[in-house]
Formats: sequence, structure tokens, C-alpha cells
Amino acid sequence: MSETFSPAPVVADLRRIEMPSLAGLYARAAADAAGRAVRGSGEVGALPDQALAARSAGATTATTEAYRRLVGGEAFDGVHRWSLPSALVHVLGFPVQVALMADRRFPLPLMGLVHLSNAVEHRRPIGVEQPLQIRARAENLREHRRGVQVDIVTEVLREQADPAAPAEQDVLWTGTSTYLARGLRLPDEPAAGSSEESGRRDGDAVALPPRTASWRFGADAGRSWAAVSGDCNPIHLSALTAKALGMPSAIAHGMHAAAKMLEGREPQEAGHRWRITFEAPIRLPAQVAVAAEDLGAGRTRITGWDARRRRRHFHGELQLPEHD
Amino acid sequence: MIQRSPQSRPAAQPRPTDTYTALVNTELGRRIGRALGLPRPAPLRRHTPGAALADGPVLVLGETSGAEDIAQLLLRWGLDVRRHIGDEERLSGVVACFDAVSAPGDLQETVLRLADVQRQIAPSGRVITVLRDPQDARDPSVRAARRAVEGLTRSLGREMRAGATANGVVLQESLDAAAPGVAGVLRFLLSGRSAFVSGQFLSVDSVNGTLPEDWDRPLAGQVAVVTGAARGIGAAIARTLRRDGAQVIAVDVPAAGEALAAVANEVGGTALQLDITAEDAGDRILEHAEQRHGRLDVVIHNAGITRDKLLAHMDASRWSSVIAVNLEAQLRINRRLLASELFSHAPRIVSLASTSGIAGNRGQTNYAASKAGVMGMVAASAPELESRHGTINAVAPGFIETEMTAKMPMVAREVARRLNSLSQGGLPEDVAETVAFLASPAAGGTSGMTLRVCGQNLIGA
Amino acid sequence: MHTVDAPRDAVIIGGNRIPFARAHKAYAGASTQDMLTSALNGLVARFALQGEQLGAVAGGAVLKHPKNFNLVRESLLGTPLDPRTPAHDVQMACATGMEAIGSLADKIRLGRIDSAVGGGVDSISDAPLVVSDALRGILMEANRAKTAGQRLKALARIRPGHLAPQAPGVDEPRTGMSMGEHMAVTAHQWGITRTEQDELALASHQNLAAAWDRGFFDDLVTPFRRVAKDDNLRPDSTLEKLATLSPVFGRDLGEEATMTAANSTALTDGAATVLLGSEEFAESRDLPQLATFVDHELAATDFVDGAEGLLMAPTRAAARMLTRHGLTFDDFEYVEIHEAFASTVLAQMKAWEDAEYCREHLGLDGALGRIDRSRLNVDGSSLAAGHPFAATGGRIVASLAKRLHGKPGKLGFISVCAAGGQGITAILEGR
Repeated sequence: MSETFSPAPVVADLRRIEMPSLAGLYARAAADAAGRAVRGSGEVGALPDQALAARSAGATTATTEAYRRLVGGEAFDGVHRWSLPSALVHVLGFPVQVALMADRRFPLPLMGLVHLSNAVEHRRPIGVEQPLQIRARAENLREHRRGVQVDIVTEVLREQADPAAPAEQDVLWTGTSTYLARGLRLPDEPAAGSSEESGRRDGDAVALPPRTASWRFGADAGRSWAAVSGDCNPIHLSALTAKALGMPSAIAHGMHAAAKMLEGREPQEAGHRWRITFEAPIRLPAQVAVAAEDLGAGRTRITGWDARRRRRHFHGELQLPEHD
Repeated sequence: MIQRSPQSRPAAQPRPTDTYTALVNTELGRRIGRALGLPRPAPLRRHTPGAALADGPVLVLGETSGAEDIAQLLLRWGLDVRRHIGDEERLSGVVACFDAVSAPGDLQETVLRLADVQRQIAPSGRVITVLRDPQDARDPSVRAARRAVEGLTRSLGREMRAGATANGVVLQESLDAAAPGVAGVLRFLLSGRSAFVSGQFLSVDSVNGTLPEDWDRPLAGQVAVVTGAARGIGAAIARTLRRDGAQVIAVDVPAAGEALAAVANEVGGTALQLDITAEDAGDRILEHAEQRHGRLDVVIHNAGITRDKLLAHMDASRWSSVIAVNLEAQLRINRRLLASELFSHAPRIVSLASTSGIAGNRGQTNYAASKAGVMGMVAASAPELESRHGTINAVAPGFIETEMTAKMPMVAREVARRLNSLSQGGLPEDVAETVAFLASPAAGGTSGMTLRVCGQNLIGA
Repeated sequence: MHTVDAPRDAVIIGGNRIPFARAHKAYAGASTQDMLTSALNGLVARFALQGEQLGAVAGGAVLKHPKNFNLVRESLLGTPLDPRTPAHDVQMACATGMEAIGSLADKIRLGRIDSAVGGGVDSISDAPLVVSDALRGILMEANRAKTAGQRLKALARIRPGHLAPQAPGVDEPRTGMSMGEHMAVTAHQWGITRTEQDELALASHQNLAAAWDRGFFDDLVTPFRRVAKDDNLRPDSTLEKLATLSPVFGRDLGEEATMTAANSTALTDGAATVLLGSEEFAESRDLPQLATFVDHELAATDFVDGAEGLLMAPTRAAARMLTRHGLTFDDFEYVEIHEAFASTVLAQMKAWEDAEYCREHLGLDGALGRIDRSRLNVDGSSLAAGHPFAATGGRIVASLAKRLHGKPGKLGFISVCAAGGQGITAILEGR
């Protein structure tokens, strides 16, 4: 990870929207799926240049309480804990992300996208019920061993920021979510890529560090996360809805794992960055072996795996801000 | 300040209720019972602290020096002592003194006077005969006369009604009736403490014995060990000794520890979990008594087991375990205790024998052997105890209402209950009262004997 | 031996416990209060404490229903102790009993109290079940509702899934790992072998069986509910039999998993108590003085991200405590290390022998030292006796004090680990 935060670029084509409802977006995406699905050749068109921006009322105390009940940690009492956890900030921006991906101009089908990784720069603390602006844009459409991947960059901005050209101090949080559309190809590119995400097969047996924790995801973990995040993606909700999308069972939401990874480790004052890479999906219900490794200099590596099959579910890294 | 007694859980053992006795003491039951000629067991007068020794007059018969001493003693106890009595008066007790008889003909005058008042004896009244020890008489006529008193007393016991009893006090040849041991025995026999003792003789052989300042707390300040104290008769003994003022060390096998703790807590004593057959059992008792109380006055060998089998089916473990627990453990512990300085100031030992040991009992060769052995041990140990101004005695219970007898077949139990002059089973407390009396300093003149607490059972009479 | 600044000694007079019984068996119908009351009753009976007003009674249970908030006080009121004896509950997971006894000893040494009973109780069989958070939320809302309609509306949200009761957590809340899983990691890191663990388990059973056989527990244990002896004891166990068992913890280590049901402590029900007093208290009541409670030390590890083992806190406590007294393990006649697992004891002992660990984690110049195995857990230990969490401290203190009785000046060492990465060590001195 770099030592400085990446700049928030000026966006020429910005469309302001109302904060969308995820349920509506998913419903539309499902309806669209049949219609457009894969376009004949399976080749993908170009990314739209347009970014979306929406105003958010911020996280309510009800949401932070629901989050805490599910993930744990200290209470958001406004004194000892007042700063939103990164995963919850992601939740605030997620509808704008989805709106971008659900747009007809977006070249990849929303339903069936696989969340590969997430990299976050949590630059400044964000309080409970703090009004915000969210900006989302797509970039870096590229090949993956199993299809095509894209980065969705979500920026969480101060209420008074100009979303088209935010000042440095107005950028509170930047998240880059990388998604994979399986079985698709880019025109003019060879089939097998060699980028970092595609070098190794998902969930291969790997050397694992000593376990330091064990996480339980109940059969209802997807529904519980949906209750916190509003993300009612059917792949997480139940075995039945997941099967409809071709998965053998419901899988845990990646951000749920990220939230657990970060809980108790994020500084209130923010300034930290983290990344999580998802490998073998966590099929519900699940027991996940977890190891936290202190790499020194404020870096912690966290790995989650299936203890029985010795397949890695995810690995992530947290970099705390430098002190002094 | 609020006075509050320490809380303790009721530790009372379940006791089989003698419904028959309850029934025949209702008006209807009385009529039916009379019509059928059934025995009519009476509720017995039992001792409670502060109870009067006798409610009504006590008649002293006989023109002997012993009679005079005894009358004086009873007067000092505040009793209504008579040498003569009116026709209508109810008597709480009669003391008939035959201590000077030298020929069979000498009995008649006192016997006939006794006959005149027999019907006037109140329920739970007492007849006490006083005689000299026949064994001390070499002259055939003298011994015959003395033995005649024994026969008279036993038969009188069988004629007693409504819980009244007849017992004898046997004086050693040269002993004055004013000896403290005589007072102790008389008081025991007159009181409710001897409720289930009838047809028996209590010997007073020495001038040993000390009368207590408070007859309700004859064991005040003394330390007593009770083995087998977790339940039944042992628990009753612990309670009675405590009531009489003793500090109790309650001993039982470790496996009985929970019940033992309850008894110890009830009597405010200490629980000592101990297998009495262990080689060091005596040492551990001494160590405990020394450490915790700095003295040891009384040891009650109550622990005992039964492993009943006809002799033809007897095996080594049944035989040896009964002999080991009931007899050898007592011998070993006594040897160890008597060798110690702690148990050398007027020590008293009371062992539990059994009427089985006297009369024998089918299927109990091992048990009867052990209990008869106890009687032998007691008799042989008396001189050694006497040299320390102490005593050793045995108590042989008859049919006692306990958890053990509650398990007998119903008919056998009913028969066993009625086969005595009081037509009822005794209670663990009755045994405990006799044990407590023999353990008291006032019984210092009585040693080496086995006293039956059996309501004058027919078996082994 | 006196600790600095202690005006007087705290003396261990004796103890009493009930036999430890495997969970859901002999004591299935007994509550923690029943068990603690019985253990106290036995103690009162052993030392004639009927009507006695003690300075304090302290103890606790790890698994405790909220209605038992005053567990020790309520238990006390069921005994013949003077009802004016104050009591308080302590909670330090498996170190509850040790912490209760240790801090009572401190109060006695300071002259704040003259006499005390410390101990603990635990029952897996009487563990409280709680309703799910969701159901609890609905019930609380219904409870706050002002109208019948509101109440019905709240209650209508109850779903069948809400009704499944939840057992109290046995996992570390911050890691989600059970203690056994944590220990499996530590054992693996220290290279503790299966054979070493099985040998330790076997020794525990043999030592406990021998102690029972020679009547060692005659004045330490009072039967309860017809159980007269620790029923987890397997005196006829053999290494061959133990070797046949499959691992139950650290199974993700595959072939390298070493922890079985036999070399891990079984879930057990039981209660234990210890009577302490000043010398004057003991003398004035002609009570025995088995040993002096010299000192104790609490410690904790940074276990959450695995920097240190969950059950290794006693290594740290021992280092501080021994340094304070200028002692080494060679100075101890007997060593009692609570076996949450056989590997716990072995890992702790290896750590104390490891110069690097002692330097890095314990702040020592070198290894703390080696423990002579012939002095370890000589009268049996948790693997054989069982481990009713809060009761273990009382069991160990009473047994060790009896061991040290009649050996004036001889020292005994105690180590007890606890959930949450905590631990206690203590020093006893014979009288």
C-alpha cells in the first residue's frame, strides 16, 4: 500500500441522483437479466464515463446499533465511540455503487457479479448521523482469468463538497470494489490475463498461520447483514434464493467478513487503509478459522479459511496511520 | 439484640409410624382392641429437659437401712415420698427394698405390700426393686432369696400396664445405698429416660460416680465421640449427648459424610469422616479430640453393620467384615485410647450390643458373635477402666423403630414390635437415653454390664 | 516467610468440597446453590462453625443465572453459619476460587477480617439458558408496551427460530474460539506431543486414585447426593487406552492434532470451600493451621490476536511472584498446576524453561527454571478430578495445604489459568 492517499479526480460527467433503494435496483436488475444477459458473442462494451452522486443522511443510530449487535464491539455512545466503522461507510455508499452497475449503460450484468476485493482509504472520521455525499464511478475494466473485472470507486464526501471536483479535505473515505463478471471477455484482449488477482486459483490449499480466532456465520448471517446494510442480494439471503442464481447455498456477504476483520482494530480518528481479497466463498452456515498476524509498523494481516478443507476464504491487511 | 438460633436443615430420619399404637389409643380402637384381646401399647413417658422426675407420690417400701437412705435421697430431689399410701392415690413409683433379705421368707411382707398398691401405679409409673448382688452371697439361702427378687421383678415387669415398668437395682455386697452410683441409677429408672427399659437390673459395684450440678445437663463440658453417628441410633445418641451438655465428635465412614455433616451441624459438633477399621482410627480420634477440644471423656461405639446369611451360606467376607467393624475395631480403638493420657480421667465407654447377641438370631451367626463378643469385651475391660475411675458398659437394643427395621416384612415387624411387655417398638431415643445415662458421671458405679433396652422382649429374656 | 508489609499471616485451616461429578450425571438435579450450600455445610461440620460469625465468605460460579446474583450469600443463609456473616460473589472465570481465596487472605493479613471462607462452585448441569437477543428484544418491547394492542403487535413478531434457547458462551467472546482450540494452537507452537499429554493424564488419574485409596480426602471431601468420590476418576486407565482416542481439539492440525478427551479436562459439576483465618482465630477456636497463604499474583496475556497463548498468563504471574520473593522452582516442595488441558501444564513448564520466552514475555534475564515432575500434582489434578470451573481453586488450596501440614517452612506453588487470557499463581507455606 502506498504511503499517501490517492487523489480524488475531477469528474466531467456527473449525474446527481436521489439515494436509490437497493431492493428496487435488484428487482430491476433481475428483470433486465433475462433481456440482456450475455450479448451474443459474450464480449463486453466500454465503461461509461458518467459518475453518479447522491446525498446521504448518514448512518442512523438504529443502523449503528444493528451493526454492533451483529458484529460486536463497543457501543456508539458518541464519546468513546463515535466514528463509523469502514464497513458501515461502505454500506452507506453501496446503493450508489449498485445504481451505477444497474444502469443500462454499464457493460456488465449486475446479477451474478462476484466481489473480488475491496481496498479502502478511510481518510477522516465520519460520525453517526453525519450528512454526506456519495460519488461512484467505474474504471479499469480489464481481463481476469475467469472473465472480466472492473473497479467501482466509491468516494464518501463531506456534505458541503463539490462532488464533481472535491477538495482534498472533503474526501472522507475512498473505497475501490473490484467485481468479476464470469465468462465474459474484452474485445481485443487475449483470454487469460496475468494481473495480480488472476495469478492464483481461488481457495487453493495454502500455508496457514496459527489460528487466533474462530468466526461463526449462522444460516441467517446473510439476512442479518442485509438487515444492517440493506443489501438484499438474493445470493446472501437464503439457500433457496442463492440456488436460483446457481449457487449451492447462500454465502456470507464479503463486507460482513470485512466488518468482522476490522472490528476493534480501526482507530476512531481514522487515517487508516485496508484491503480485503475474497477467495473461496463462505457458504452458510460456516465456521471460519481466522488468524491475525502483526506484521509490525502498524500492519496487521488477517486471514480466514475453512479449517476442514484448508481453503482460504479471504485475506486482508490493515495499515494503521503512522503516529508521531 | 435479636437472638436467633443457627439455621439448620431438619436432619431427622424418616421414622416408620406405629399406626397400630396410634389406632388402639383412639376410643374406637380401644373398644375393638379390648373385644379382640389385642395388646394395648401405651404412649410412653419420655424425658424432656425440665420435666418432673415424677408427677405423683413415690412409695418406698421395706424397713431396711437402704430404704431409709433412698427415701432421704428422693426427698432431697423434692419428690413426694411416702412410706404408706391411701387406697385412692395414684403412685408415680414404688421403690421396694429387699436389700436385707437373707432367706426366701424375708420377701413376703414387702411383696404383699407391693401387691396392695400395684393397681394404683399410674401410667408410665415405675416399680424399682433394690437387692444385693446374688453373686456376692455364698450362703445358699441368702443367694436364693436374692435371686427370688430377680424373678419377682421380671414377672412384675410382665404384669405392668400402660407403659409402667419394673426394674431392679443390684447393690454390691458392701455398698451403701447412699453411694452416688445408686442415686444415678435410681434417677435414671424413675425418669422418662428409661421409658423402654423394663425387667432389667442395673448393678452398682463401686462408690465411683459423681452427681451432676444440673440433672438436665449431666455431660456439661464433656467431649464425646459417637461412631456411626450419621443416622439412626447413632444420630439419636449424638443429639441426646448434646442435649445433656456434651460436645460431640460425630464419626462415620467417609461415604456417609453428607448425613454426618447434617448431624454434626444439628448438634453443633464436629464431623470426623473415618473408617473405624483403619489401623490408625484410634490415633485419628485422639488427634481430633486433642486438637479441637483438648479432652476426651466419652466414647460411644455405635457403628455396626449386618451381613445376614444362614451359616451354611456364610462366606469369608460376610463373616470377617462384621467381626472387623462390630468387634475388632472397638478392641483396637479402646486399646489405643486407653494407652493415651487424653482418655485417662474417668473415661467412659459405651458399646452397642444387641439382643441378637444374647438370644441368638437365625441368619445372624456373624452379627450375634460380634455382639456377644462386645459384651465379653465390656465385662473384661471393666477393671482397667475402673483403675482410671472410668466405666465401660454395653447397651443391647431390642426392637427399635429405625430405617433398618422399617425394611422388615410387615408381619414380622408387627410381631417383633408386640413381643415385649410394652407391646411396642422402642425409639432410637430410648437407646440413646440409656447410652447417655451410662456415659454420665452419675453412672460411675456401674461398669462391665450389658443393659437391654428392649421393653422386656420375650426373646432372650 | 512473610510478604513485605503484611502485619500478620493468613492461615489455611482446612477445606471441604463435594466430590466432583461429570456433567449431566449424578448432580443433574442439583443447583449451584445446593452444591455450594452442601460444601459449606460440610466445612461448618468439620470445624464446628455452627453459629459462627465469620469475617467474610466469598466465591462464585462461572456459569451463573442472573437470579443467583447473590449466590454465595444465599448459599450461606442455608448453612448453620451466623446469618450476620457477610458474603460476596467473585468472578474471574476458572480463577474465581483462587481469586476469592487470595483476596480473603489479603484481608486477613491486613487485619480487616479474622476469618473467612473462600471457594466456588460450578455446574454444567445447572447452566442457565438464555433466549436469543431477538426474542429478548421483542419481550422487552412487549413489556414496555402501554396497551394490549401494542403488546400483541410486539409479540406477533416472535418466530419459531427465536425460541431456541442459547447455552451460555463457552467460547472466548473476542476470538470465537473455544479454550480447547486456543490451547491446541499454543500446544502446537510449543511442540507438545500427544505422548507427553497422555502420560500427564495417566499420572493425574493414578495420583488421584492413590490419594483416595489412602484416605487423603477423608477430611477434605464430604459426599453429596450419594456420590462419595470424584466420579471422573479412571484408576485403571492405561497409556495404550489413551492412545486410541481421537483428537477433539485442533483437528485442523490434521496429523499434528494432539488433544483428546482424555488429556483435556472433562466438564464437571462440583463445589469447594476453604476456611482461612488469622493465627489468633485458629488458636482461639482450637482449629488446625495447615499452611500459610503467603502470596498470590494475577496476570493476563495479550491473546486476542495470538501474540500470546490464552492459557499462558500463569507464566507471567509466576515470574513476577517468584522474583518478588527471590525464589526459584527448586524452592518448592510441591507444585500444583491446574490442568485445563494436559498441554496447558506442559506448555507452561516449557515456557518457564525457555530462556527466550522468559526474556521476551516475562522480562526476565533468562529461563525461570525447571519443575521437578515428581513434585507436580502429587495428589491428583484436574484431568482426573474434573474441573468445575470456580471450584478448582478451593480444591487445590485445601489439598496442597493438607500436603504441607506438618512440614513447617516447606513451600507449595499453585498455578491456575483462566478464560480471557488470565491466570493466578500462589505460594503456600507449610505449618
